Amino acid sequence: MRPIINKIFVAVSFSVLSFSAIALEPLSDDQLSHVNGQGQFNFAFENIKFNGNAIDGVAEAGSYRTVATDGSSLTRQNYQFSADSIGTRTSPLTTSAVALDPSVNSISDGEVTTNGTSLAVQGFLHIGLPERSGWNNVDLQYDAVYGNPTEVDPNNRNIAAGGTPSNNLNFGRITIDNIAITGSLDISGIPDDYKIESVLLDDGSRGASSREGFMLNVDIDELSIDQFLFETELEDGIFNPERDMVIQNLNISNLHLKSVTIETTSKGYRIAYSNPQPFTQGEGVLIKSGAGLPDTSHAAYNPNFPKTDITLSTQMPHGQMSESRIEGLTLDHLVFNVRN
Amino acid sequence: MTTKKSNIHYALIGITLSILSNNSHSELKPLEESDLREVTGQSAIQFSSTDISYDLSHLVGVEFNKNAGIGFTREEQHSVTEHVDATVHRLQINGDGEFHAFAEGLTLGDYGGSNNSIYKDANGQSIPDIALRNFGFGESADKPFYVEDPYIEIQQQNHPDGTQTFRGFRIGFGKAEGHTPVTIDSISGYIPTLSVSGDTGGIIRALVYGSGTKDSFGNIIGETPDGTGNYAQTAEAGQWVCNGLWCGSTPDNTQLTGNTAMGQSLGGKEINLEHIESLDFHNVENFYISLTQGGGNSFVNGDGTVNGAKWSQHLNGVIPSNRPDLPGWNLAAPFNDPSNTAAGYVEAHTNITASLGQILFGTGDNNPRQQYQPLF
Repeated sequence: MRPIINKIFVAVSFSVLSFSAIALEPLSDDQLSHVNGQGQFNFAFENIKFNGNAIDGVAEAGSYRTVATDGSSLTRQNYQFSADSIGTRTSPLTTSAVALDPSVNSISDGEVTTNGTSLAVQGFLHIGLPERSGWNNVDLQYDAVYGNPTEVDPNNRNIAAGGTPSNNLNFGRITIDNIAITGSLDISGIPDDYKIESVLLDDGSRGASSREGFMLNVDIDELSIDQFLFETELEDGIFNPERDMVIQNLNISNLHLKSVTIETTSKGYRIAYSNPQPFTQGEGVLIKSGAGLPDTSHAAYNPNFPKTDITLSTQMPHGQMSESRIEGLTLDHLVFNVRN
Repeated sequence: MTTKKSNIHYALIGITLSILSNNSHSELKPLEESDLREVTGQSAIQFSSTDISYDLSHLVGVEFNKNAGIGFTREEQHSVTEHVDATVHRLQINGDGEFHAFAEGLTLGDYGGSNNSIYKDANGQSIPDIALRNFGFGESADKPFYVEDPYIEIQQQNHPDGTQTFRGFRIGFGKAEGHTPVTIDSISGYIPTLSVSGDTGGIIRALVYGSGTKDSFGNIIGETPDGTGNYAQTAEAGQWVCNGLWCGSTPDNTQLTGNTAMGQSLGGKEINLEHIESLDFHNVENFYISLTQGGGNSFVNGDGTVNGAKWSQHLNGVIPSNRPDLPGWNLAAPFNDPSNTAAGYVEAHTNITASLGQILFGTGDNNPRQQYQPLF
């Protein structure tokens, strides 16, 4: 599995660096042989343009296609990506090696122990994202075309409810304007014997040792997108309130997840994260009540535990623009098994 | 590629390799042959485009006409019906998961007080479509919420002239189970619930729906409340009406139990959602949050048709056709089988006395926050 991970990084490195516009001094072979992850490397990318124009009569030209097991697919045609800059000389994208303690809280029968899952300090690859000023006009656009399964599945939730496979496969154009992500990511391997156990899922995680994969710290200070536009019919990049739908001013702030593990299994992927916080337990027999609220009187309660805020504005055809928001979000446990 | 760039690549590759090799404590092991055979390069995502058709109208009132004989004929009044042909584009992630999350506040559809909800906050501003406080999925990290097959669906309406518009989108789960603490300030959508009555030993079935309201409806199990009791009725309840020589008092459209032969309804009785402390999902197939055409002040269009959208599950009758998704943001959690509540349901936990008192004894009718009056 290790080579696969490395190949992923290599692929990412190549694809990103092929846009590199800042001259960096080459390393000599001797220098290269001594690279061991120390120090910090800064990157800035300017004037990135990627135009995947479809060509009439040429299958798959300029498209990016995902095909599922059942033959269904999503094709993104006319894929366009452009950015005036991702990172600047004063606010670059950085990579460095850091030593971090991945320990997280543990929980048993509702009792939370701070740093109860004690793990040794280990090295991480630290990726520092540029500050907000380093993200300039980062835009993405594509035309989405759906493809139905090759065989109709009678258990398909839509078809079972009375729908029929459609010939209207052209979804329309999706345009994402001004993407910016600030903060940092830390990547490492999963420590020996560290396994985030599932509570409800029968996925073999109980008592198992760690598997192949990597560990991730997510420290996103802010993720913002100015506009997420869905167009059908006339695809001109301009919101039409009688026809289109739009998400504007999407902002996710203060998203911090410590020691997320991403593992491969023989049946797919397993994403797991658990840094439990104390919450109240329900009382009563027939009718339990009072469960699931922050237990502010618990010794392990941390009023400074990072909470995420999400805001966005939306408008549908024939409607008014409205704002939606999630305030003070605590996400302290997540396990998801992606099934191939 | 220039030599300079090649060196940069090698440098980063070197960094990556060295960091991963130096710091990965867990040995990465090759898959066994038996494991390898199970890997078929399948995608964990499924796509579909499905055509659906439905007629859309909203209930706007109930009319009672005196029969020539005993009883009244009850007729529901609807807005202009629009026939909708639509394509639903669906993206589903195949998998199951568990999570615990808690939000101090969840607000969907805040129009800055400019929407037409009759419900006002302390400053006299209209309240949002959905406003929840202390809202969580699961009790804690060791009692999380269970979900299967998360999906996104976007519905495009195919108009007779060949044009298309977006009708709505929804984010949901194929299956949901678990505890959700919640304080409801405002809710729209449709959540059928069971409330276990500890002090009476009975079970109450209730529906939670409306548009930017605290409205909900309760009824004793065995009779499904349809919410019509929350609409204006003509003639008013108790009014003496004659049809020739046949006269009688108009039934009350907000009966706990109905006797349709007598012209009564299954309208149900309003309950106050302020008393709900949690909604617990039991084996619920399909729980979703939707945003549909319209919203704000836009209930009705110039030709008398209404906004909103139905989804494919409506076609199965899981959600009554007289109450499709209202415009704007909605929560929906249908019974798996409306005739078999044990097959999957949501249970409303309340601070019991006041809520059940309203259901069983019909109190609280004069609470202006419990009178749903959509503007048509």
